[in-house]
Amino acid sequence: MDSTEPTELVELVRRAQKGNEAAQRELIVSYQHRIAGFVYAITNRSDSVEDLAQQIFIKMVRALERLQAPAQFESWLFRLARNTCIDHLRRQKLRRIFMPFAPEHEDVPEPPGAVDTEELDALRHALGQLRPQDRALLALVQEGRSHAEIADALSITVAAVKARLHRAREQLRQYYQPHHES
Amino acid sequence: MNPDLETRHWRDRQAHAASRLSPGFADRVLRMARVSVEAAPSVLGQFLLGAATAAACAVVVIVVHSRVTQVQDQRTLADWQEIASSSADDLSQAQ
Repeated sequence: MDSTEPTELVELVRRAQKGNEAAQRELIVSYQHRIAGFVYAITNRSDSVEDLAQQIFIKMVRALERLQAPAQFESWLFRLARNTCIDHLRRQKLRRIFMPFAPEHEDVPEPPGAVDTEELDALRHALGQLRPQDRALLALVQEGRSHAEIADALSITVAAVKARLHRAREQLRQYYQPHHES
Repeated sequence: MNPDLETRHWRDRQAHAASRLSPGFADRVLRMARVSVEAAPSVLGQFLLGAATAAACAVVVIVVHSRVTQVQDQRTLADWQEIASSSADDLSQAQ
């Protein structure tokens, strides 16, 4: 929500907390693209983006009245998104234990057109090698969040954010190899 | 890895992810949130359901236990009656 002033956001969140559907709708519309991007960053799969984004916003609407500090809305929403995605990946992992798929069904490639350049493909591959938590961290940095905001969204300390960020960047650099570079 | 390239990649990825949301996303979410709130059982409802389940289980346990005890009592009584009659026969033969 780049164009909205913090005070406007707080006011909007307060109205949404009181059950104002127009305010809830405005919040969803304002954040849906950023949350979709964040979900894609964590899961690295675009086919589950809509389902997960839907789950996240339904949880947001239902839990909004329990948010005590409306000014913390963004951190709270991204924490909710991160937890929903991590739960989804955990459930998927468990399901694979009980219903193992053949290797060719394990990693179904993205549909054609989803990845349109070699560099994007290389980045997707490199990101796929990282832990979902590290992908979430990099996505929040790209969102322009400060270390303190990221620490709040991921429920870790600022020092841990810095250390993990350094490690994630190193790993991404290591795995990122477009075909023309390799 | 070029930071500008990385930023552009993330932006492209975000645009791609955003394109996965079908039109009317916000309205659909609000509708589903409303339905799930209405369909969600209340705390009292969940408590009553739990209490009813526990009561039904207790009734089943009591019925099965009393039935098993009754059958066992009847079998034991029949055994004692058999012992008593055979003892009476032995006694009358001895006399």
